[in-house]
Amino acid sequence: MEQKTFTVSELTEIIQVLLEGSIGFVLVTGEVSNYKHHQSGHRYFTLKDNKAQISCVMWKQVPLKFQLKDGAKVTVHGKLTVYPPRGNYQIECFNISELGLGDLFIKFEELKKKLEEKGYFDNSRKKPIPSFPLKIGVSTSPSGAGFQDIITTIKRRLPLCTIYFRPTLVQGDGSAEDIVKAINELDKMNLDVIIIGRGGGSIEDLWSYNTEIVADAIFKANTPVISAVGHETDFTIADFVSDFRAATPTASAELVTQITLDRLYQIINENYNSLVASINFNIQQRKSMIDNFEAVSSYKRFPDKISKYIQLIDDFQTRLDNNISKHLKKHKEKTEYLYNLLKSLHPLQPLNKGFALLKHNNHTITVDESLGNYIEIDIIRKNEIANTHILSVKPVTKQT
Amino acid sequence: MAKKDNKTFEEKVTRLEEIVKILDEDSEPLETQLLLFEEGTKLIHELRQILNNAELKIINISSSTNENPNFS
Repeated sequence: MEQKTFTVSELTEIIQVLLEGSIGFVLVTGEVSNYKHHQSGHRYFTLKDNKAQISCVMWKQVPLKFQLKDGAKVTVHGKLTVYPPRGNYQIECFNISELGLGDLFIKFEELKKKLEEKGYFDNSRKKPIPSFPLKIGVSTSPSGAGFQDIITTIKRRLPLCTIYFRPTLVQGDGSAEDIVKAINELDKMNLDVIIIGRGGGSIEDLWSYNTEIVADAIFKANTPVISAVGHETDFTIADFVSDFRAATPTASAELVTQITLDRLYQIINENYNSLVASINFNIQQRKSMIDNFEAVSSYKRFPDKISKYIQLIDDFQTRLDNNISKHLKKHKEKTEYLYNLLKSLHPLQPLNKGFALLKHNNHTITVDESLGNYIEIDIIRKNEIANTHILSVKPVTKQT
Repeated sequence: MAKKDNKTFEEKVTRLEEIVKILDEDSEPLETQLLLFEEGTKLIHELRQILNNAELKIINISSSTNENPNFS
């Protein structure tokens, strides 16, 4: 039998007839994932369990009785259809009813509760993010937009930084283990801060960041860790454990570059201005201190003090002079008196009054000697000497 | 005071702020202050130089699991 060759369209048409005809309307339970409410108003999502998944669409005309979101466990009532342009099959939903929270969400909540009780989320144990980190570790996918966002932001704001980039598996098998390794490796490099992150995705895509081993690695790291996982609305366990949660990779880059290059220039200029202002002020201070010195009263009175002393000294001198001349005069008078006294006592002095001196061969005969001892004596008067012979000597009778 | 050193940017900024503080407090003799002022202006020159030449460095740390690069 000859094998028939189909065109793609022909085969797809057969599949469509087969599937839509033999399956048609279905009632399916599963977990909602990748829910997207498109701008057009139509809603797309994946329904899955642990082994398989199937695409679903819910047109905008179909009313939705509750807020559909990822992780929700639902029962879908719809019709299985084939969409030839993409070659896939999907369920067009007419009705969705909620079955309760999905498994992943239950796991998430359980782990969150457990870690919270262990104190992993306590603010008191969170390390502060340095305001001026220059060595920044980054763990993310090299091909994702997140990495480019981080590089561009840091380059623009603070190109002074060095980025230590550790390319990391961020989803799929082994990704949780690789994230743990990346955190450990970066933590050993003595960096200022570590950013772990990835772009947005479904709860499955982000799941590695909801694992306990990643939470442990973040908790044990000595370096401050910033998580930047997914979009603003995505919360992961990593966000709760990390020292700071940035809404997006770009936000994390902004967070670590709060002091930008412009701000640094500004800081340096400010420091320069204070330096100049301070030194000028301090010099001026000393100048005016010296100027003021003259105005200070004790300094000002100093010349007065000196002239007072000069006067005092003058006084002393005057008094001294007076005393000395008084003394001198007294001494002079005394001396003169003594001189006159002396003069009057001179042995020849009486000659002036007509008395005579008796001598014998240059020996002056004193009052106690008797003239009887001499034969010949000289009588000395003021203007003449008489050589005489003594004829007789007799004592003088005293008159009463 | 002037010497070739390997101080990091942060260390230089810290030193500069220290000098500014000393001059602000006016606690040192003027001679010391003038030396510090000189050191400060030198630091400012160096810091500006660093900023003018700043260029983002990216150091790649190769990951140890590369068999299945399912990066996304």
